[in-house]
Amino acid sequence: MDTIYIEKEVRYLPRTEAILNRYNQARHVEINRYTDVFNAPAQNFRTQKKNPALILARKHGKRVLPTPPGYHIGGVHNYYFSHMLNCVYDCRYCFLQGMYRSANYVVFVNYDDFFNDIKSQAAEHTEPSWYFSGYDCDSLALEPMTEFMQRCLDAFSEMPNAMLEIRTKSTQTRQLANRKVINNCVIAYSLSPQEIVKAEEHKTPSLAKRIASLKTLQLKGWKIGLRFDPLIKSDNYQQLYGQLFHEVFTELDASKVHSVSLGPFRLPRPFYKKMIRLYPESKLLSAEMNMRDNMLSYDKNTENNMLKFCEKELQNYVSADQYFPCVSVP
Amino acid sequence: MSNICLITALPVEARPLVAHFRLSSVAHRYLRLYRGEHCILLQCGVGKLNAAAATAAMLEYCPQVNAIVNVGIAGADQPLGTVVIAHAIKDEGSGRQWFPHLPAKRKLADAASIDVLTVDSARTNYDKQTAFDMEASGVALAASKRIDMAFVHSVKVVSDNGESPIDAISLSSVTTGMEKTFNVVENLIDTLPFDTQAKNQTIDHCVNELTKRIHYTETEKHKLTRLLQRLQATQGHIPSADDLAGHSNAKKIRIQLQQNLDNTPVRY
Repeated sequence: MDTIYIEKEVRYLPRTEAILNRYNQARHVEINRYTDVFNAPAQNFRTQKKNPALILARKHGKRVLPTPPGYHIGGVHNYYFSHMLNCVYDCRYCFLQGMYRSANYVVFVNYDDFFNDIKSQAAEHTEPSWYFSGYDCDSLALEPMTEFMQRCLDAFSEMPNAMLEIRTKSTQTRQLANRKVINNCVIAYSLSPQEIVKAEEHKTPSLAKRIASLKTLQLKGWKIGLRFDPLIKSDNYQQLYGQLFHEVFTELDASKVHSVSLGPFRLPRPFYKKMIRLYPESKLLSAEMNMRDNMLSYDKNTENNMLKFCEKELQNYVSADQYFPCVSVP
Repeated sequence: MSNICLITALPVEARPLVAHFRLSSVAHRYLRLYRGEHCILLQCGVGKLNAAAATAAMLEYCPQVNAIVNVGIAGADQPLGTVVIAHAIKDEGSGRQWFPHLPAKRKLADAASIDVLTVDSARTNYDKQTAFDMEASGVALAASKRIDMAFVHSVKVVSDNGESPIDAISLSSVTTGMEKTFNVVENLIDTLPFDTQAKNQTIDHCVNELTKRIHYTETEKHKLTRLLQRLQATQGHIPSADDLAGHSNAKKIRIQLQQNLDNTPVRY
């Protein structure tokens, strides 16, 4: 990190000090509110992605929000939270490019506020409620710096009625592998065929490395989830996804996988238009897209065919009660 | 003409840069402009209003400019001759602020970063964390209307501080100070703009040729460009304007291109 912006309000918090000490060669710039930098006009996502700055801030207001309808893995009450905005990876399909003006990373250092909010929310339900991490960022990619997930798991270990999903593509799992497993946590990996990883998921670990991380975690006793999301259209998708499922389930014990989900590729139109401007010659974004239910997606036929094919293939490996046709909607 | 513009307020600030970069005067009725191989230079006049007005006029006159470096003297509680670069530009009068996205530190090793506060009159309550100037916010205001803040920067050299106040500034001290900025300015010229989306010359050329021969509305032109971009992405090349010469109107060309696209397999 070359530049770190720090909200005055959080400047002397222990978490802030720890991060600043880690990057003591960086420029440290005090600001009033993170939005002054993050939401400023005249920013270019693509330019900043080459050399993002870090912004340390306090998250005010609502920190735990309900997930969009249809987004669940079996739970009735579903919420998401974001301790961080923006992702270290650069996936060409990612809605973050269309949502935010800035590619700088924001880390909300008031971790305890998040955990207290989750505790309060969970206390409102008699059944277990679910909390999804990794909506606005990769949950683990910057874990060595933030240590958020370590604290999060500590908090969830005292909330047996709250279920945590850690969504990631990262192989930063050493600390997870070395700590005591908690039963109310699912570590869920986003997975795509390696050809698509190479072409569209820039800076991410390879499929093989992600599978290796999953295997390690599974052997340690962690609940693992597989998120085949988004499904990317191509003329050879059957071969690609067939091969993907084969590779994954050759390494993992399918009977012990907590959940598997498929996600069609969908984007809000304004995000899509921004992404086209950033990457006009992107192969992925060159596909024909249609408006349906206020979202841009592949035509209904194509989407249904891809989903049906993948569902049928997955039936060879997992049972119906492990499969959730999640619609991961930005 | 170059796409990087240096902006200074005073002739005494401009002269060393003009000499160093071997710039020559450009005839313009209202702007004091110089140009050379590596950059152009605008001498905007004192104060943020002059800076904003001149920057805006320059951007109209030189639409190819896509990076700006405001260079000049400033007051701070730092040793005289210290060169600094703004990580934040603030306007005292309005409270507005801009945050230039700075290049990697290794590319600017000679310059520490600082808040640059644009004031309306000279200040003597010097601060280690703040450099007082009179133009930076005007430049930022005008430039940010057209240019990404990763390519708008303010480089200052400390000309006055608690021990050597503003009254002690002389022509020679300004000249000496400005010479100290050369290294940082050169590094910025080498660095900026970085990673802008390179325009696809082939697509632009094809669109220009087609729109010369056939009438296109703006919407049709946009659709044409988009189709060509999609073809480039999927095929790796696009048809030339000559390949499409047989069509008599924009719609027929679009239909042809769409057919090409539909017939192109997309595989990973």
